[in-house]
Amino acid sequence: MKKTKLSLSIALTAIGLALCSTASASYVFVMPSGGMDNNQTMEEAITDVKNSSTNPGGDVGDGAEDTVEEVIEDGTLTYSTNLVGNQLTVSGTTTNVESISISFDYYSYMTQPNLPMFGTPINVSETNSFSHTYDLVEGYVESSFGMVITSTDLNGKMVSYTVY
Amino acid sequence: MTNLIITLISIALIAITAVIALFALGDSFKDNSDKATFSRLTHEGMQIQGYSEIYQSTYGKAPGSIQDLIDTGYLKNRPLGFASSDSENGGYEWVVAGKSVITLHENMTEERALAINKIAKVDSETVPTCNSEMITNGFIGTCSLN
Repeated sequence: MKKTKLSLSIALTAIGLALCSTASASYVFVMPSGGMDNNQTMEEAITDVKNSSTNPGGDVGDGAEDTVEEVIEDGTLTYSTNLVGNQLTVSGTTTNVESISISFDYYSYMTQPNLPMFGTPINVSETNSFSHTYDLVEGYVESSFGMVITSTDLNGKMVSYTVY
Repeated sequence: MTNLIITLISIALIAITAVIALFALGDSFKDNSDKATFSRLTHEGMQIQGYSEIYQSTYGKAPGSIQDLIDTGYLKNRPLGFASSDSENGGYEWVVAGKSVITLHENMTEERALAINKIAKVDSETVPTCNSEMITNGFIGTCSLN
């Protein structure tokens, strides 16, 4: 009986700790706007976006938007990557895609400022084969890298998808 | 009896494997997810920055909002920000705040915010509280509203 009580106490403590460690709050990701300045404070901007009637982003999985994930799943975009030495080749095909640009980006923790660096986007159009080779800068080996695929969906909305 | 023992051993092995995988690979999975989020957000932010500068050179004034970039055709729509597939229970698109663009996530854990800041090379052990100096100084990273 004592063992049962002890086990129960341990379990409840673990659950409590788990709940505490996953407590969430409101965080914002901030970046310079590149010249835009609406003289709003952050608090005002946050109030605006909360009050927005446009349902920002919609609901994930609501079926209202075609995402790049769906484009890939539908087979309207196929791609593959091949890394040889310091050159990365991205190739693939698109069908029935209005326009799609593919860019490769990588993190280089050896550069300053420590921001992801992006390759020149490749632009491919409907029913197109594409292949592009990027020369990676020295030091990429110690970096994480991935591809950012940016596309317009069927509703004309810009969507992006990062592959790692 | 033998079957019961085999079943129990199987369950134990599966449990051990799961625990090992969680400890050995858990950080790696989370790390990649955080890097992907940071990469996408900075990518979107750079798109807004870039088109904002093009707008400025075309119209002789800075766009007042992201909507201006959409109305003039530079952006098809507002980039998703945290309102993407990695936002578990809600997120918001980008908006302008002073000279910064921001995207809100109401249900992010402190652990994840810290992880994103680590990738962004924010030099702080804790998630900083959002303030106007960040907007002025071109801060890049996650800050807390609380």
